[in-house]
Amino acid sequence: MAEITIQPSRERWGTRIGLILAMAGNAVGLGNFLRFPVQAANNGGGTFMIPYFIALLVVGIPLMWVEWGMGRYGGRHGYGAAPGVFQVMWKHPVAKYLGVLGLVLPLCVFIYYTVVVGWLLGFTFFSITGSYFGLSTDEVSAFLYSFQNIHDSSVHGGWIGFLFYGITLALIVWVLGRGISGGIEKLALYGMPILFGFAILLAIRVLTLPATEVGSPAAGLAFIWTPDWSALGNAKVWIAAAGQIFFTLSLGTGSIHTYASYLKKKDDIALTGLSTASTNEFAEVVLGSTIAIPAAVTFFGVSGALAIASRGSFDFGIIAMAMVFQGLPGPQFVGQIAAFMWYFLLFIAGITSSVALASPAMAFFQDHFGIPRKQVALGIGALALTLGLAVVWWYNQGFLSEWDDWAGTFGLVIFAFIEIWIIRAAFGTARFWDELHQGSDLRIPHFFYFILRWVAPLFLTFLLAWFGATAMWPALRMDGVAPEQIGGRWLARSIMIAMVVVGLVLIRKAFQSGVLYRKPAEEET
Amino acid sequence: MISLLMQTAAAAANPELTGGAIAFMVVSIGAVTTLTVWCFARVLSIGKREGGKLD
Repeated sequence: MAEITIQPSRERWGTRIGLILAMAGNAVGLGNFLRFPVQAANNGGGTFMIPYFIALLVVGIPLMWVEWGMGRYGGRHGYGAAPGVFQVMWKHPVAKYLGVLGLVLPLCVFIYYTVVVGWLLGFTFFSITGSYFGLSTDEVSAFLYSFQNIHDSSVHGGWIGFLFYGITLALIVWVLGRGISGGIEKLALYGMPILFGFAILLAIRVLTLPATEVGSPAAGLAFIWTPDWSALGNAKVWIAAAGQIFFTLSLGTGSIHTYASYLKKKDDIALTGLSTASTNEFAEVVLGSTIAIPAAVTFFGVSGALAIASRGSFDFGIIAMAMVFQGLPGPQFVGQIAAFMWYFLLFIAGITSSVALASPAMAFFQDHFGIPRKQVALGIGALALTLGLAVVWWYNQGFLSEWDDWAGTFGLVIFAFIEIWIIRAAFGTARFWDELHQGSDLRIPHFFYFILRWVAPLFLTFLLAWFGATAMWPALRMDGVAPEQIGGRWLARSIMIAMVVVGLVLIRKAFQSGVLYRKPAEEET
Repeated sequence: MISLLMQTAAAAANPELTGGAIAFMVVSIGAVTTLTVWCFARVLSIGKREGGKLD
Protein backbone atom coordinates (compact mmCIF):
# COMPACT_ATOMS: atom_id res chain seq x y z
CA MET A 1 0.00 0.00 0.00
CA ALA A 2 1.26 3.47 -0.79
CA GLU A 3 2.32 5.85 1.90
CA ILE A 4 -0.49 7.41 3.83
CA THR A 5 -0.84 11.15 3.50
CA ILE A 6 -2.51 12.80 6.41
CA GLN A 7 -4.24 16.11 6.16
CA PRO A 8 -6.89 17.55 8.49
CA SER A 9 -8.29 15.61 11.42
CA ARG A 10 -11.55 13.73 11.14
CA GLU A 11 -14.44 15.63 12.64
CA ARG A 12 -15.80 14.88 16.12
CA TRP A 13 -19.10 14.94 17.91
CA GLY A 14 -19.37 17.83 20.34
CA THR A 15 -21.38 16.29 23.17
CA ARG A 16 -22.62 12.87 24.13
CA ILE A 17 -26.23 14.07 24.27
CA GLY A 18 -25.80 15.45 20.76
CA LEU A 19 -24.46 12.10 19.59
CA ILE A 20 -27.31 10.17 21.24
CA LEU A 21 -29.92 12.46 19.71
CA ALA A 22 -28.28 12.31 16.28
CA MET A 23 -28.14 8.50 16.42
CA ALA A 24 -31.73 8.44 17.72
CA GLY A 25 -32.66 10.79 14.87
CA ASN A 26 -31.13 8.28 12.50
CA ALA A 27 -33.24 5.48 13.99
CA VAL A 28 -36.52 7.28 14.67
CA GLY A 29 -38.37 7.47 11.38
CA LEU A 30 -41.80 7.15 9.88
CA GLY A 31 -41.86 3.47 10.83
CA ASN A 32 -41.95 4.30 14.53
CA PHE A 33 -45.22 6.19 14.22
CA LEU A 34 -46.86 4.40 11.32
CA ARG A 35 -45.44 0.90 10.81
CA PHE A 36 -45.06 -0.29 14.39
CA PRO A 37 -48.68 0.05 15.57
CA VAL A 38 -49.99 -1.66 12.44
CA GLN A 39 -47.47 -4.48 12.83
CA ALA A 40 -48.46 -4.95 16.46
CA ALA A 41 -52.16 -4.92 15.70
CA ASN A 42 -51.79 -7.44 12.85
CA ASN A 43 -49.49 -9.81 14.72
CA GLY A 44 -51.11 -10.72 17.98
CA GLY A 45 -51.70 -7.33 19.60
CA GLY A 46 -50.20 -7.24 23.09
CA THR A 47 -48.59 -10.65 22.66
CA PHE A 48 -46.60 -9.20 19.73
CA MET A 49 -44.56 -7.43 22.38
CA ILE A 50 -43.18 -10.74 23.67
CA PRO A 51 -41.29 -11.63 20.45
CA TYR A 52 -40.69 -7.91 19.94
CA PHE A 53 -38.81 -7.47 23.22
CA ILE A 54 -37.00 -10.79 22.82
CA ALA A 55 -35.87 -9.68 19.35
CA LEU A 56 -34.77 -6.34 20.79
CA LEU A 57 -32.71 -8.10 23.42
CA VAL A 58 -31.13 -10.87 21.35
CA VAL A 59 -30.87 -9.21 17.97
CA GLY A 60 -31.50 -5.48 17.99
CA ILE A 61 -29.26 -4.26 20.80
CA PRO A 62 -26.36 -6.67 20.07
CA LEU A 63 -26.36 -5.80 16.37
CA MET A 64 -26.51 -2.15 17.21
CA TRP A 65 -23.42 -2.56 19.41
CA VAL A 66 -21.75 -4.41 16.54
CA GLU A 67 -22.30 -1.46 14.21
CA TRP A 68 -21.18 1.08 16.80
CA GLY A 69 -18.07 -0.98 17.52
CA MET A 70 -17.23 -1.46 13.84
CA GLY A 71 -17.72 2.23 13.16
CA ARG A 72 -15.54 3.39 16.04
CA TYR A 73 -12.84 0.86 15.09
CA GLY A 74 -12.91 1.98 11.46
CA GLY A 75 -12.80 5.63 12.46
CA ARG A 76 -9.67 4.99 14.50
CA HIS A 77 -8.01 3.88 11.29
CA GLY A 78 -9.32 6.84 9.36
CA TYR A 79 -12.31 5.18 7.71
CA GLY A 80 -15.89 6.34 8.08
CA ALA A 81 -17.64 4.22 5.47
CA ALA A 82 -18.19 0.48 5.11
CA PRO A 83 -15.45 -0.27 2.52
CA GLY A 84 -12.69 0.96 4.84
CA VAL A 85 -14.32 -0.42 7.98
CA PHE A 86 -14.63 -3.88 6.42
CA GLN A 87 -11.07 -3.66 5.11
CA VAL A 88 -9.51 -3.04 8.53
CA MET A 89 -11.60 -5.73 10.22
CA TRP A 90 -11.12 -8.41 7.59
CA LYS A 91 -7.73 -8.43 5.88
CA HIS A 92 -8.94 -9.86 2.64
CA PRO A 93 -8.93 -8.22 -0.79
CA VAL A 94 -12.68 -8.75 -1.21
CA ALA A 95 -13.66 -7.13 2.09
CA LYS A 96 -13.56 -3.54 0.88
CA TYR A 97 -15.64 -4.39 -2.18
CA LEU A 98 -18.36 -5.91 -0.02
CA GLY A 99 -18.51 -2.51 1.65
CA VAL A 100 -20.00 -1.11 -1.55
CA LEU A 101 -23.38 -2.10 -0.12
CA GLY A 102 -22.79 0.28 2.78
CA LEU A 103 -22.30 3.10 0.29
CA VAL A 104 -24.81 2.55 -2.47
CA LEU A 105 -27.75 1.18 -0.48
CA PRO A 106 -28.00 4.11 1.96
CA LEU A 107 -27.52 6.51 -0.96
CA CYS A 108 -30.46 4.97 -2.83
CA VAL A 109 -32.61 5.00 0.30
CA PHE A 110 -31.52 8.58 0.96
CA ILE A 111 -32.73 9.67 -2.47
CA TYR A 112 -36.21 8.17 -2.36
CA TYR A 113 -36.68 8.69 1.36
CA THR A 114 -35.97 12.39 0.89
CA VAL A 115 -38.72 12.50 -1.74
CA VAL A 116 -41.11 11.16 0.91
CA VAL A 117 -39.78 13.64 3.48
CA GLY A 118 -40.48 16.39 0.94
CA TRP A 119 -44.10 15.27 0.78
CA LEU A 120 -44.28 15.59 4.56
CA LEU A 121 -42.88 19.10 4.34
CA GLY A 122 -45.60 19.82 1.81
CA PHE A 123 -48.31 18.57 4.14
CA THR A 124 -46.79 20.59 6.99
CA PHE A 125 -47.20 23.64 4.76
CA PHE A 126 -50.72 22.66 3.66
CA SER A 127 -51.69 22.24 7.31
CA ILE A 128 -50.67 25.82 8.06
CA THR A 129 -52.60 27.11 5.06
CA GLY A 130 -55.53 24.76 5.73
CA SER A 131 -55.52 23.71 2.05
CA TYR A 132 -57.06 20.27 2.58
CA PHE A 133 -59.46 21.26 5.36
CA GLY A 134 -63.07 20.92 4.33
CA LEU A 135 -62.28 18.19 1.78
CA SER A 136 -63.88 14.75 1.87
CA THR A 137 -61.76 11.61 2.25
CA ASP A 138 -61.79 10.98 -1.49
CA GLU A 139 -60.84 14.58 -2.14
CA VAL A 140 -57.94 14.36 0.36
CA SER A 141 -56.81 11.20 -1.46
CA ALA A 142 -56.93 13.05 -4.77
CA PHE A 143 -55.10 15.95 -3.12
CA LEU A 144 -52.30 13.63 -1.96
CA TYR A 145 -52.02 11.65 -5.19
CA SER A 146 -51.89 14.78 -7.33
CA PHE A 147 -49.18 16.08 -5.00
CA GLN A 148 -47.17 12.86 -5.33
CA ASN A 149 -47.63 12.48 -9.07
CA ILE A 150 -45.68 14.93 -11.17
CA HIS A 151 -47.85 14.04 -14.17
CA ASP A 152 -51.13 14.80 -12.37
CA SER A 153 -52.07 18.47 -12.30
CA SER A 154 -55.69 17.87 -11.35
CA VAL A 155 -55.29 19.47 -7.91
CA HIS A 156 -51.75 20.86 -7.75
CA GLY A 157 -49.34 22.00 -10.40
CA GLY A 158 -47.37 18.90 -11.37
CA TRP A 159 -44.10 20.27 -10.04
CA ILE A 160 -45.33 21.29 -6.57
CA GLY A 161 -44.34 17.96 -5.00
CA PHE A 162 -40.91 18.16 -6.58
CA LEU A 163 -40.54 21.73 -5.33
CA PHE A 164 -40.93 20.56 -1.74
CA TYR A 165 -38.42 17.81 -2.46
CA GLY A 166 -35.99 20.46 -3.68
CA ILE A 167 -36.47 22.54 -0.53
CA THR A 168 -35.96 19.49 1.69
CA LEU A 169 -32.88 18.46 -0.25
CA ALA A 170 -31.41 21.97 -0.02
CA LEU A 171 -31.89 21.88 3.74
CA ILE A 172 -30.17 18.48 3.97
CA VAL A 173 -27.26 19.64 1.81
CA TRP A 174 -26.89 22.70 4.04
CA VAL A 175 -26.84 20.52 7.19
CA LEU A 176 -24.36 18.06 5.66
CA GLY A 177 -22.17 20.90 4.50
CA ARG A 178 -21.91 22.25 8.03
CA GLY A 179 -20.36 19.01 9.22
CA ILE A 180 -20.82 16.65 12.13
CA SER A 181 -20.98 18.87 15.21
CA GLY A 182 -21.96 22.07 13.38
CA GLY A 183 -24.67 20.55 11.21
CA ILE A 184 -25.90 17.05 12.05
CA GLU A 185 -25.53 17.41 15.82
CA LYS A 186 -27.21 20.82 15.81
CA LEU A 187 -30.11 19.47 13.76
CA ALA A 188 -30.58 16.69 16.30
CA LEU A 189 -30.23 18.97 19.32
CA TYR A 190 -33.00 21.25 18.02
CA GLY A 191 -35.08 18.77 16.06
CA MET A 192 -35.39 15.81 18.40
CA PRO A 193 -36.79 17.73 21.40
CA ILE A 194 -39.35 19.31 19.05
CA LEU A 195 -40.24 15.86 17.70
CA PHE A 196 -40.74 14.40 21.17
CA GLY A 197 -42.55 17.50 22.45
CA PHE A 198 -45.01 17.49 19.56
CA ALA A 199 -45.51 13.72 19.83
CA ILE A 200 -46.25 13.89 23.56
CA LEU A 201 -48.73 16.76 23.06
CA LEU A 202 -50.47 14.89 20.24
CA ALA A 203 -50.61 11.67 22.27
CA ILE A 204 -52.27 13.53 25.13
CA ARG A 205 -54.77 15.14 22.73
CA VAL A 206 -55.59 11.85 21.03
CA LEU A 207 -56.06 9.93 24.27
CA THR A 208 -58.42 12.59 25.60
CA LEU A 209 -60.62 12.65 22.50
CA PRO A 210 -64.30 11.97 23.11
CA ALA A 211 -65.70 8.75 21.68
CA THR A 212 -67.53 8.97 18.35
CA GLU A 213 -70.27 6.75 16.90
CA VAL A 214 -67.72 4.47 15.29
CA GLY A 215 -64.92 4.31 17.82
CA SER A 216 -62.90 5.73 20.67
CA PRO A 217 -59.24 6.11 21.71
CA ALA A 218 -59.74 3.20 24.14
CA ALA A 219 -60.90 1.02 21.24
CA GLY A 220 -57.76 2.04 19.36
CA LEU A 221 -55.57 1.03 22.27
CA ALA A 222 -57.52 -2.22 22.60
CA PHE A 223 -56.98 -2.82 18.88
CA ILE A 224 -53.21 -2.57 19.32
CA TRP A 225 -52.79 -4.23 22.70
CA THR A 226 -55.44 -6.98 23.06
CA PRO A 227 -53.38 -10.16 23.39
CA ASP A 228 -53.86 -13.08 21.04
CA TRP A 229 -51.93 -15.93 22.59
CA SER A 230 -52.27 -18.16 19.53
CA ALA A 231 -50.02 -15.71 17.65
CA LEU A 232 -47.03 -16.85 19.70
CA GLY A 233 -47.10 -20.20 17.93
CA ASN A 234 -46.94 -18.52 14.53
CA ALA A 235 -43.42 -18.23 13.05
CA LYS A 236 -44.49 -15.28 10.90
CA VAL A 237 -45.25 -13.25 14.01
CA TRP A 238 -41.72 -13.82 15.32
CA ILE A 239 -40.24 -12.89 11.95
CA ALA A 240 -42.42 -9.77 11.85
CA ALA A 241 -41.23 -8.77 15.32
CA ALA A 242 -37.57 -9.36 14.44
CA GLY A 243 -38.02 -7.48 11.17
CA GLN A 244 -39.61 -4.53 12.95
CA ILE A 245 -36.73 -4.38 15.45
CA PHE A 246 -34.20 -4.64 12.66
CA PHE A 247 -35.69 -1.82 10.60
CA THR A 248 -36.63 0.48 13.46
CA LEU A 249 -33.05 0.61 14.76
CA SER A 250 -31.79 1.48 11.25
CA LEU A 251 -29.53 -1.55 11.27
CA GLY A 252 -27.79 -2.56 8.05
CA THR A 253 -27.78 0.90 6.49
CA GLY A 254 -24.14 1.73 7.15
CA SER A 255 -25.09 5.03 8.73
CA ILE A 256 -24.43 3.90 12.32
CA HIS A 257 -20.88 2.97 11.28
CA THR A 258 -20.29 6.42 9.88
CA TYR A 259 -21.68 8.27 12.89
CA ALA A 260 -19.68 6.05 15.26
CA SER A 261 -16.51 6.60 13.22
CA TYR A 262 -16.38 10.13 14.60
CA LEU A 263 -15.71 8.75 18.08
CA LYS A 264 -12.36 8.17 19.72
CA LYS A 265 -11.08 4.88 21.09
CA LYS A 266 -11.97 5.75 24.68
CA ASP A 267 -15.41 7.18 23.93
CA ASP A 268 -18.10 4.95 25.41
CA ILE A 269 -20.32 3.11 22.96
CA ALA A 270 -22.03 0.58 25.25
CA LEU A 271 -24.15 2.98 27.30
CA THR A 272 -24.43 5.56 24.53
CA GLY A 273 -25.63 2.92 22.07
CA LEU A 274 -28.12 1.54 24.55
CA SER A 275 -29.42 5.06 25.19
CA THR A 276 -29.96 5.52 21.47
CA ALA A 277 -31.87 2.25 21.21
CA SER A 278 -34.02 3.07 24.23
CA THR A 279 -34.82 6.54 22.84
CA ASN A 280 -35.95 4.93 19.62
CA GLU A 281 -38.03 2.39 21.54
CA PHE A 282 -39.65 5.16 23.57
CA ALA A 283 -40.65 6.90 20.35
CA GLU A 284 -41.97 3.64 18.92
CA VAL A 285 -43.69 1.82 21.77
CA VAL A 286 -44.90 4.75 23.85
CA LEU A 287 -45.61 7.43 21.25
CA GLY A 288 -46.08 5.25 18.18
CA SER A 289 -48.86 3.29 19.83
CA THR A 290 -50.75 6.27 21.22
CA ILE A 291 -51.21 8.62 18.25
CA ALA A 292 -52.08 7.34 14.79
CA ILE A 293 -54.05 4.15 15.52
CA PRO A 294 -56.11 5.43 18.48
CA ALA A 295 -56.90 8.60 16.50
CA ALA A 296 -57.84 6.70 13.35
CA VAL A 297 -59.95 4.15 15.23
CA THR A 298 -61.79 6.97 17.00
CA PHE A 299 -62.87 8.47 13.68
CA PHE A 300 -63.05 5.42 11.38
CA GLY A 301 -63.56 2.42 13.66
CA VAL A 302 -61.25 -0.57 13.57
CA SER A 303 -62.14 -1.89 10.13
CA GLY A 304 -62.05 1.58 8.58
CA ALA A 305 -58.61 2.22 10.03
CA LEU A 306 -57.42 -1.20 8.87
CA ALA A 307 -58.78 -0.62 5.38
CA ILE A 308 -56.78 2.59 5.05
CA ALA A 309 -53.72 0.99 6.63
CA SER A 310 -53.90 -1.83 4.09
CA ARG A 311 -53.09 0.71 1.39
CA GLY A 312 -49.77 1.42 3.06
CA SER A 313 -48.42 3.23 6.07
CA PHE A 314 -47.94 6.43 4.16
CA ASP A 315 -51.55 6.68 3.02
CA PHE A 316 -52.55 5.87 6.56
CA GLY A 317 -50.35 8.59 8.03
CA ILE A 318 -51.41 11.22 5.52
CA ILE A 319 -54.99 10.56 4.46
CA ALA A 320 -56.42 9.07 7.64
CA MET A 321 -54.70 11.62 9.85
CA ALA A 322 -55.74 14.50 7.59
CA MET A 323 -59.37 13.46 8.15
CA VAL A 324 -58.74 13.02 11.88
CA PHE A 325 -57.43 16.57 12.23
CA GLN A 326 -60.42 17.94 10.38
CA GLY A 327 -62.68 16.17 12.86
CA LEU A 328 -61.02 17.42 16.05
CA PRO A 329 -63.40 19.25 18.38
CA GLY A 330 -63.07 23.03 18.38
CA PRO A 331 -62.40 25.66 15.72
CA GLN A 332 -60.51 24.78 12.55
CA PHE A 333 -57.25 26.35 13.66
CA VAL A 334 -57.01 23.77 16.49
CA GLY A 335 -57.05 21.02 13.89
CA GLN A 336 -54.56 22.93 11.74
CA ILE A 337 -52.15 23.26 14.66
CA ALA A 338 -52.45 19.57 15.51
CA ALA A 339 -51.96 18.67 11.84
CA PHE A 340 -48.92 20.92 11.62
CA MET A 341 -47.44 19.21 14.68
CA TRP A 342 -48.09 15.75 13.24
CA TYR A 343 -46.62 16.33 9.79
CA PHE A 344 -43.75 18.40 11.15
CA LEU A 345 -42.75 15.72 13.65
CA LEU A 346 -42.81 13.17 10.82
CA PHE A 347 -40.77 15.61 8.74
CA ILE A 348 -38.16 15.87 11.52
CA ALA A 349 -38.14 12.09 11.95
CA GLY A 350 -37.57 11.80 8.22
CA ILE A 351 -34.98 14.51 7.71
CA THR A 352 -32.75 13.34 10.58
CA SER A 353 -32.81 9.87 9.03
CA SER A 354 -32.11 11.27 5.56
CA VAL A 355 -29.07 13.15 6.79
CA ALA A 356 -27.75 9.94 8.38
CA LEU A 357 -28.31 7.98 5.16
CA ALA A 358 -26.22 10.44 3.17
CA SER A 359 -23.39 10.32 5.69
CA PRO A 360 -21.57 7.15 4.50
CA ALA A 361 -21.09 8.63 1.03
CA MET A 362 -20.04 11.94 2.61
CA ALA A 363 -17.39 10.19 4.70
CA PHE A 364 -16.16 8.05 1.79
CA PHE A 365 -15.43 10.99 -0.48
CA GLN A 366 -13.88 13.03 2.30
CA ASP A 367 -11.72 10.21 3.65
CA HIS A 368 -10.48 8.74 0.40
CA PHE A 369 -10.51 11.57 -2.11
CA GLY A 370 -9.90 14.57 0.13
CA ILE A 371 -12.88 16.48 -1.24
CA PRO A 372 -14.03 19.22 1.16
CA ARG A 373 -17.30 18.38 2.87
CA LYS A 374 -19.25 21.28 1.33
CA GLN A 375 -18.30 20.12 -2.14
CA VAL A 376 -19.23 16.53 -1.31
CA ALA A 377 -22.55 17.71 0.11
CA LEU A 378 -23.26 19.69 -3.07
CA GLY A 379 -22.26 16.72 -5.23
CA ILE A 380 -24.53 14.34 -3.33
CA GLY A 381 -27.28 16.95 -3.52
CA ALA A 382 -26.89 17.22 -7.29
CA LEU A 383 -26.97 13.44 -7.68
CA ALA A 384 -30.03 13.22 -5.43
CA LEU A 385 -31.79 15.96 -7.34
CA THR A 386 -31.22 14.16 -10.63
CA LEU A 387 -32.17 10.70 -9.40
CA GLY A 388 -34.92 12.12 -7.21
CA LEU A 389 -36.49 13.44 -10.39
CA ALA A 390 -36.39 9.90 -11.75
CA VAL A 391 -38.07 8.63 -8.56
CA VAL A 392 -40.82 11.21 -8.95
CA TRP A 393 -41.13 10.89 -12.73
CA TRP A 394 -41.54 7.11 -12.68
CA TYR A 395 -43.28 6.96 -9.29
CA ASN A 396 -46.38 5.32 -10.70
CA GLN A 397 -44.20 2.86 -12.63
CA GLY A 398 -42.85 1.42 -9.38
CA PHE A 399 -39.43 3.12 -9.37
CA LEU A 400 -39.61 4.03 -5.69
CA SER A 401 -41.03 0.64 -4.71
CA GLU A 402 -38.24 -1.19 -6.53
CA TRP A 403 -35.56 0.77 -4.69
CA ASP A 404 -37.41 0.35 -1.43
CA ASP A 405 -37.54 -3.43 -1.92
CA TRP A 406 -33.86 -3.85 -2.76
CA ALA A 407 -32.04 -0.98 -1.10
CA GLY A 408 -34.42 -0.32 1.78
CA THR A 409 -35.34 -3.89 2.75
CA PHE A 410 -33.40 -6.84 1.33
CA GLY A 411 -30.11 -4.97 1.02
CA LEU A 412 -30.09 -4.10 4.70
CA VAL A 413 -30.41 -7.73 5.72
CA ILE A 414 -27.64 -8.73 3.28
CA PHE A 415 -25.37 -6.00 4.65
CA ALA A 416 -26.05 -6.99 8.27
CA PHE A 417 -25.41 -10.64 7.38
CA ILE A 418 -22.00 -9.70 5.95
CA GLU A 419 -20.97 -7.54 8.87
CA ILE A 420 -21.94 -10.04 11.57
CA TRP A 421 -19.97 -12.76 9.81
CA ILE A 422 -16.96 -10.47 9.46
CA ILE A 423 -17.05 -10.09 13.25
CA ARG A 424 -17.73 -13.77 13.87
CA ALA A 425 -15.35 -15.37 11.38
CA ALA A 426 -12.67 -12.78 10.56
CA PHE A 427 -12.22 -10.24 13.34
CA GLY A 428 -13.12 -12.62 16.15
CA THR A 429 -15.93 -12.31 18.68
CA ALA A 430 -13.57 -12.28 21.69
CA ARG A 431 -11.47 -9.51 20.19
CA PHE A 432 -14.58 -7.55 19.31
CA TRP A 433 -15.91 -8.01 22.85
CA ASP A 434 -12.75 -6.34 24.17
CA GLU A 435 -13.08 -3.61 21.56
CA LEU A 436 -16.68 -3.00 22.62
CA HIS A 437 -15.59 -2.38 26.20
CA GLN A 438 -12.90 0.18 25.40
CA GLY A 439 -13.82 3.27 27.42
CA SER A 440 -17.15 1.70 28.32
CA ASP A 441 -19.42 3.28 30.94
CA LEU A 442 -21.40 0.06 31.10
CA ARG A 443 -20.26 -3.49 31.68
CA ILE A 444 -22.25 -5.48 29.16
CA PRO A 445 -23.56 -8.74 30.68
CA HIS A 446 -21.62 -11.75 29.41
CA PHE A 447 -24.87 -13.21 28.14
CA PHE A 448 -24.45 -10.88 25.15
CA TYR A 449 -21.12 -12.46 24.26
CA PHE A 450 -22.97 -15.69 23.60
CA ILE A 451 -25.54 -13.74 21.59
CA LEU A 452 -22.86 -12.09 19.47
CA ARG A 453 -20.99 -15.33 18.93
CA TRP A 454 -23.87 -17.63 18.13
CA VAL A 455 -27.37 -16.18 18.11
CA ALA A 456 -26.90 -13.05 15.99
CA PRO A 457 -24.94 -14.78 13.16
CA LEU A 458 -27.36 -17.69 13.03
CA PHE A 459 -30.38 -15.45 13.27
CA LEU A 460 -29.22 -13.24 10.39
CA THR A 461 -28.41 -16.29 8.31
CA PHE A 462 -31.90 -17.58 8.95
CA LEU A 463 -33.48 -14.17 8.28
CA LEU A 464 -31.60 -13.87 4.99
CA ALA A 465 -32.64 -17.38 3.95
CA TRP A 466 -36.23 -16.67 4.92
CA PHE A 467 -36.27 -13.36 3.08
CA GLY A 468 -34.53 -14.94 0.13
CA ALA A 469 -37.13 -17.66 -0.24
CA THR A 470 -40.26 -15.71 0.61
CA ALA A 471 -39.56 -12.21 -0.66
CA MET A 472 -36.31 -11.72 -2.60
CA TRP A 473 -36.80 -14.44 -5.18
CA PRO A 474 -40.38 -13.39 -6.02
CA ALA A 475 -39.25 -9.75 -6.10
CA LEU A 476 -36.36 -10.63 -8.42
CA ARG A 477 -38.80 -12.32 -10.77
CA MET A 478 -41.21 -9.41 -10.33
CA ASP A 479 -44.00 -11.77 -9.38
CA GLY A 480 -47.28 -9.94 -8.97
CA VAL A 481 -45.94 -6.70 -10.45
CA ALA A 482 -48.45 -4.89 -12.65
CA PRO A 483 -47.39 -5.06 -16.35
CA GLU A 484 -47.27 -1.27 -16.61
CA GLN A 485 -44.67 -1.19 -13.83
CA ILE A 486 -42.22 -3.69 -15.30
CA GLY A 487 -40.35 -1.09 -17.38
CA GLY A 488 -40.06 1.43 -14.54
CA ARG A 489 -38.86 -1.23 -12.14
CA TRP A 490 -36.23 -2.46 -14.59
CA LEU A 491 -35.06 1.11 -15.02
CA ALA A 492 -34.78 1.52 -11.23
CA ARG A 493 -32.95 -1.77 -10.97
CA SER A 494 -30.55 -0.85 -13.77
CA ILE A 495 -29.69 2.49 -12.18
CA MET A 496 -29.03 0.78 -8.86
CA ILE A 497 -26.76 -1.80 -10.51
CA ALA A 498 -24.94 1.02 -12.31
CA MET A 499 -24.44 2.76 -8.97
CA VAL A 500 -22.98 -0.43 -7.49
CA VAL A 501 -20.56 -0.72 -10.45
CA VAL A 502 -19.48 2.91 -10.08
CA GLY A 503 -19.09 2.33 -6.34
CA LEU A 504 -16.82 -0.67 -6.95
CA VAL A 505 -14.66 1.34 -9.36
CA LEU A 506 -14.39 4.17 -6.83
CA ILE A 507 -13.43 1.76 -4.05
CA ARG A 508 -10.72 0.26 -6.25
CA LYS A 509 -9.41 3.71 -7.06
CA ALA A 510 -9.54 4.80 -3.41
CA PHE A 511 -7.58 1.83 -2.11
CA GLN A 512 -5.12 1.74 -5.00
CA SER A 513 -3.84 5.14 -4.00
CA GLY A 514 -3.80 4.16 -0.31
CA VAL A 515 -4.15 7.81 0.57
CA LEU A 516 -6.16 8.89 3.57
CA TYR A 517 -7.05 12.50 3.66
CA ARG A 518 -8.30 12.81 7.21
CA LYS A 519 -6.24 12.17 10.30
CA PRO A 520 -7.37 9.06 12.25
CA ALA A 521 -8.34 9.58 15.87
CA GLU A 522 -5.24 7.90 17.32
CA GLU A 523 -3.01 10.36 15.55
CA GLU A 524 -4.60 13.38 17.11
CA THR A 525 -2.75 15.50 19.53
CA MET B 1 -63.33 3.87 -2.35
CA ILE B 2 -62.22 5.02 1.07
CA SER B 3 -65.63 6.58 1.72
CA LEU B 4 -67.21 3.22 1.06
CA LEU B 5 -64.80 1.55 3.43
CA MET B 6 -65.60 4.10 6.10
CA GLN B 7 -69.30 3.36 5.81
CA THR B 8 -68.67 -0.30 6.41
CA ALA B 9 -66.43 0.65 9.32
CA ALA B 10 -69.35 2.08 11.23
CA ALA B 11 -70.97 -1.31 11.37
CA ALA B 12 -67.83 -3.11 12.55
CA ALA B 13 -67.49 -3.96 16.20
CA ASN B 14 -64.67 -2.34 18.12
CA PRO B 15 -62.71 -4.28 20.74
CA GLU B 16 -62.93 -3.35 24.38
CA LEU B 17 -59.91 -2.51 26.48
CA THR B 18 -59.58 -5.64 28.59
CA GLY B 19 -57.39 -6.25 31.62
CA GLY B 20 -54.97 -8.27 29.49
CA ALA B 21 -54.60 -5.44 26.97
CA ILE B 22 -54.05 -2.90 29.73
CA ALA B 23 -51.48 -5.16 31.37
CA PHE B 24 -49.49 -5.57 28.14
CA MET B 25 -49.71 -1.86 27.43
CA VAL B 26 -48.61 -0.78 30.90
CA VAL B 27 -45.78 -3.31 31.13
CA SER B 28 -44.46 -2.53 27.63
CA ILE B 29 -44.67 1.23 27.97
CA GLY B 30 -43.33 1.03 31.52
CA ALA B 31 -40.36 -1.13 30.52
CA VAL B 32 -39.33 1.12 27.65
CA THR B 33 -39.80 4.30 29.69
CA THR B 34 -37.81 2.89 32.62
CA LEU B 35 -34.94 1.86 30.35
CA THR B 36 -34.88 5.26 28.67
CA VAL B 37 -34.96 7.16 31.97
CA TRP B 38 -32.23 4.92 33.43
CA CYS B 39 -29.97 5.41 30.39
CA PHE B 40 -30.37 9.16 30.33
CA ALA B 41 -29.97 9.48 34.10
CA ARG B 42 -26.71 7.60 33.84
CA VAL B 43 -25.51 9.53 30.80
CA LEU B 44 -26.37 12.84 32.44
CA SER B 45 -24.73 11.92 35.75
CA ILE B 46 -21.54 10.88 33.95
CA GLY B 47 -21.78 13.99 31.79
CA LYS B 48 -22.12 16.17 34.85
CA ARG B 49 -19.00 14.60 36.30
CA GLU B 50 -17.00 14.89 33.09
CA GLY B 51 -18.41 18.10 31.67
CA GLY B 52 -20.68 16.54 29.06
CA LYS B 53 -18.10 16.67 26.27
CA LEU B 54 -17.01 13.61 24.38
CA ASP B 55 -13.34 13.06 25.00
